[in-house]
Amino acid sequence: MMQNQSKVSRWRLNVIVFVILLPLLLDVQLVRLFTPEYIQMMAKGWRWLGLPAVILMIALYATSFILILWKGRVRLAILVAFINCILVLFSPFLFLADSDTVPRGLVIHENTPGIDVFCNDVYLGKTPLEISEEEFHRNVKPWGSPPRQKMMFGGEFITENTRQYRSGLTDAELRRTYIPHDYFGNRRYSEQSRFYGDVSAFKSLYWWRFERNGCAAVAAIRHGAIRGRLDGSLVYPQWWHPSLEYPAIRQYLAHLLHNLKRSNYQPSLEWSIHVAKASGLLFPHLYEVGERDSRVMKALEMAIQTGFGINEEMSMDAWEAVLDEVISRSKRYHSFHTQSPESMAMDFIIQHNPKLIETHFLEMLSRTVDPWRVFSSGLNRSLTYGDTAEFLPLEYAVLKSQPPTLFKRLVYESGRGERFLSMVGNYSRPEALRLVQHYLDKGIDNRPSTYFGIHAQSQEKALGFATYLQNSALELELRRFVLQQAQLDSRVTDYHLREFIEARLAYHLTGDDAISLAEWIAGALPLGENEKLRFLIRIDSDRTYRYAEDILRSHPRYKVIVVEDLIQRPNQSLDRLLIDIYQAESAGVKFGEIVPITAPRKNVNVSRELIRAMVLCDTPHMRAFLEGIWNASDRNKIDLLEAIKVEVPRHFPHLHDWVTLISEIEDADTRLAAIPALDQIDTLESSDVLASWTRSADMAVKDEAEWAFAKYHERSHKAEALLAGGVKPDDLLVGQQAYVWDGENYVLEETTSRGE
Amino acid sequence: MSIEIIKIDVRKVLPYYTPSLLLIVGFVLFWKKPLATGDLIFNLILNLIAYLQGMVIAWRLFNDSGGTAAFIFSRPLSRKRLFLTRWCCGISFQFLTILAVFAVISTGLRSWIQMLMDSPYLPMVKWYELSILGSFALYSILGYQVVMFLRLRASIVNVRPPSWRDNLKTVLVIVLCLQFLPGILGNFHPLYYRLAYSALVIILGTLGSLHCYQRTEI
Repeated sequence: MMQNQSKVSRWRLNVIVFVILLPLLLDVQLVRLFTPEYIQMMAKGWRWLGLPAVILMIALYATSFILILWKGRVRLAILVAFINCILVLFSPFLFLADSDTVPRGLVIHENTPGIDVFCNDVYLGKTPLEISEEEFHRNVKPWGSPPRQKMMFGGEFITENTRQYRSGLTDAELRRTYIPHDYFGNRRYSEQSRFYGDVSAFKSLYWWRFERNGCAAVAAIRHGAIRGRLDGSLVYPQWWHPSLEYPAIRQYLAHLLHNLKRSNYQPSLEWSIHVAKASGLLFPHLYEVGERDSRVMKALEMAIQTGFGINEEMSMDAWEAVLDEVISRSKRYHSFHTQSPESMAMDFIIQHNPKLIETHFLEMLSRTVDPWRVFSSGLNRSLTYGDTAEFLPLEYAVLKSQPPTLFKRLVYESGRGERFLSMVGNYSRPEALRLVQHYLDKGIDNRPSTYFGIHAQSQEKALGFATYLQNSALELELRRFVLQQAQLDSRVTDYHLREFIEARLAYHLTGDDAISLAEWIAGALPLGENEKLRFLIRIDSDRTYRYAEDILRSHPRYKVIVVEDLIQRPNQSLDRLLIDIYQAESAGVKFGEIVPITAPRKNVNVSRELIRAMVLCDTPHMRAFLEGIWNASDRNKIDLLEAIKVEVPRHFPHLHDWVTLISEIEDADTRLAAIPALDQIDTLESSDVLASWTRSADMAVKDEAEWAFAKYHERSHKAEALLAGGVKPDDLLVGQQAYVWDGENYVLEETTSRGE
Repeated sequence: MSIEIIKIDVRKVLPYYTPSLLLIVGFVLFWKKPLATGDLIFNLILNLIAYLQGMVIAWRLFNDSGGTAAFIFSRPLSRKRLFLTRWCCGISFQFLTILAVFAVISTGLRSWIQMLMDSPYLPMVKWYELSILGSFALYSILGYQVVMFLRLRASIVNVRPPSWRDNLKTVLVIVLCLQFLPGILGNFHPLYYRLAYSALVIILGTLGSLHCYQRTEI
């Protein structure tokens, strides 16, 4: 009886020991073993390595339980469980040691998510797409020969006119609708080479196609990919970033803008719904136009509001629903971009319901200890990817709105690392400035670099922090820090300095900030003159003009750089410089030399590029000067019209103002040159001028005007059909020809049929 | 009657408790970054110190030499009363530590010292730093409960009384396992997991310890 009682007592005590050791025995790592993620991992080809390991782990845990519960051997049980925990913790690394045994997967990821992916015409899903080798082969059957290419373009900028196959281009330069990518075929090619790049792409059995909102994409053949990790999974797949382009996008955009202009920039409900639906494709392009034309930006905002169901009189619950939608999209896409429909929706929340941001941010902080295992580059075009991307919209909102009530909490959290510190550093409060200064002075661990590379790591972090922090009150301090690091450490290279400048230029600084940055680049930055000039051309400040003028005096050959860059990015502060270059060129003298007063205003020596750059520079001074050129001769008018015709499709709204001057043209030849420009300007005013010219006495002008006027109306009809869904964006492309494989090369489809 | 036992316990614990209290207060005063459980390194050190202090208190309280044990068990008090008196004594020591940490933070002493040390975080984050007290208390009581239970269990399971080496080995294994894995990785465990575990250990550890204490042979 006594013996039984003692046994019962011991058993109870063993149960308590068991409970105490529960964290060790049932560590979270063990729980992971039974999560779908682990099961997926085994299904993806790990089973031969994974299964024995799993059995061993379970056996060891069972041994621990038995040792404690039945035998009361606490120390031995602890030892067994401890070994097991170590095994569970480090098992992924052990399994991954041999790359040949790693189950292979592919992640297809573009900067903007939501692209439809097809392989051999089998739909696989939307980007970011992760697919394992097994899943891929189960769904996709190989093709025997390269497919018919619906579209094929040259390597340069894709335009409507680039229709013909250009035989001089290499495979890498050509863009195709179907892209060969036989990533999983590495093993087949392994006898020839370990690298797929050495094998002809046309031997590929798998051809990929991408579409977005009904718009077919083209891409070049690219080899190689980087190793990455998706969604915390233990599978390490290769990443493929196909760098897609959409041939129809220019026409698509032109038709949407045409419709918008016809409605006097008051978007119809159809327009808003259409843009909202296709916002993944259209947003970056419309946003770019909107940065130059506030009316387009307003229309885009209305479309995004329609898409998210945002209006002025929304309830708290409705705002919550919008925020939830943004967060769920970020989670789904594993990313959040600062110039996206989602960021614009966040801007509306910040504007109308800032309290919501605060409460959700605090809730998120309490929910997770390590919310951001993702990359970010601050407020400017953050390219992010990671398994906790759902928190990025809130980070963006806090960075942008800087809620005063969150400041102290953020300071408290900033002890954890740079992520929170960068949020604090956005505030313009003396405490924030002090914190950042403290970090920059003491944040770099100066232990010897051999010590696990700690110095290099902390330096890289600090440089990244300084690069992406946007706070004008701290700017001088940040510049001092970056220069100091560049002087002290050879590892801080020109690359870091360029990154630092690029981040600042992307913020479109104005006023004193722009002047200060220009002064710093011109005076302190240890880069070459050429590079400094290119950076300065992007800053609208008087210092840019003085620097560029000095450089051009000593190095006239840099004139080409200035003009080319100004075509890409017009800069109003350089209007005088362009005029000086024009005057020097038209007078046939070098830049900086005195132009004779009697020099005739001819443009015989003036490059078309220079006129393009001048046409894009919208300042009163430049307008007056160009009007002078316009009035000087008909030849000048034709040159200016050529430049306008080329630049209007890039949507510079000030070019629409040329319609008034164009309407005053009397000469028939000049009118003929003006008609394509009016066609491109594509406004109600330009169509009125075209309508008036259809009554011209000159038959050539009459015919051309009638053609352009008819085209205007055709565009209106197509735009309406596009919004109604009757026309697809790809249908807007004119004269596209397909290419077929003739056994050796791709040839025009017509050629083949004639041969047959 | 209880007061004599308390006096003995205080005398036994104080020489070990005082340095550990000073260590904790010093750590809290001079840690340069904000005191946050989200800071992995700080959390690790804090949990370890709290855990060790709990263990030291329990080890000193429930490890009586022959003479002391004879004196204590000869008092006209029930085993249950004896156990609860000593258990409360241990809990009070831990409460005292928490009180000291609270005072150091809330009176502004830490802020003042940190400001002298040119820390940019304080006094802004002063009140947020009190959030460490919960985690500190949790780990302190865990260490206390675990060692108390294992020590008392050993006294009835083992025929011979545990030697100094046995005690040290047990302590090391427990520290290694409980602190190294769940302690270090404590940040990655969900809060409810940690709370549920702590509640289980406190309830079962106390009941089990009482069970053992009532059956301990002198």
